[in-house]
Amino acid sequence: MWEILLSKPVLIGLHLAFAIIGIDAFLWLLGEIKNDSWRKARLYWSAGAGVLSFLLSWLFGGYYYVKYYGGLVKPIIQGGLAPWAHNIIMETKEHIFLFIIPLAITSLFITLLSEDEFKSLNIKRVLMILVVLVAGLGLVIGAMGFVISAAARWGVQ
Amino acid sequence: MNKLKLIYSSSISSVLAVTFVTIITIFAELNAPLKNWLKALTGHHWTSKGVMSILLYTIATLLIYFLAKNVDGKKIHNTLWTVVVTTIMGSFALFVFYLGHHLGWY
Repeated sequence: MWEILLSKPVLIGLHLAFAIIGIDAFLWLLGEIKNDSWRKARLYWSAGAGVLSFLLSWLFGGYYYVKYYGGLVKPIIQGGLAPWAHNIIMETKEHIFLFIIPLAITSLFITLLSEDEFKSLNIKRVLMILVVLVAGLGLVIGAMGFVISAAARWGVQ
Repeated sequence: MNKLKLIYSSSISSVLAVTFVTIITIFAELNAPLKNWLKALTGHHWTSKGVMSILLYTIATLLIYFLAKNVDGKKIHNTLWTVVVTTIMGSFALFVFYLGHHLGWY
């Protein structure tokens, strides 16, 4: 069981799947905030699902990165036609990923507010930008991951 | 639990964590002993940065939560904007740094 779960394709798949769930959850959260209805359960569960998904994506992706990427994938990319895919894209991606968790947790804490508390703080606009930033960083990181995979797959031809 | 203080302390701690990751990443690329120390800490420099940033975020959130006074809407509004700006600047700084590093600007 563990052998399958910790194999390279499954780790990459789980890393990507949880990242997509996290992005979707934060886009759902964005819609809830914009909606002005302040339905606490929906806000809380969308933000909570987002935080949990980003944490799991970090753990699965991190395990793959530390265990396999450096020894197997990085040398192929650096020896291929697009070494910049590691030197610029991967190096940036792996560190920007670390920004997401604190931002997502901060968004989750805001969903704990009551509707009256939220409205009195006048933070709707900045919260929407923060939530867009979390989802946007997730999307940019996903695109970067695609470039890195493509460089490993086709960069030697 | 004081929700305003929790949001305020989490926002400031996010700024600290993002700034920490950005600065230590750039410094470690330019300073081999620092990068080796990060590697030795957990076996991989990236793991060390991740663990340290989460520890920093958690400890700073707890400390600021208990130390902060007179947290109001304006303070929360300003710190949330600081989180947004710091994250954009940190992301841009890391990208430009690695771009320059690859192109041999320094």
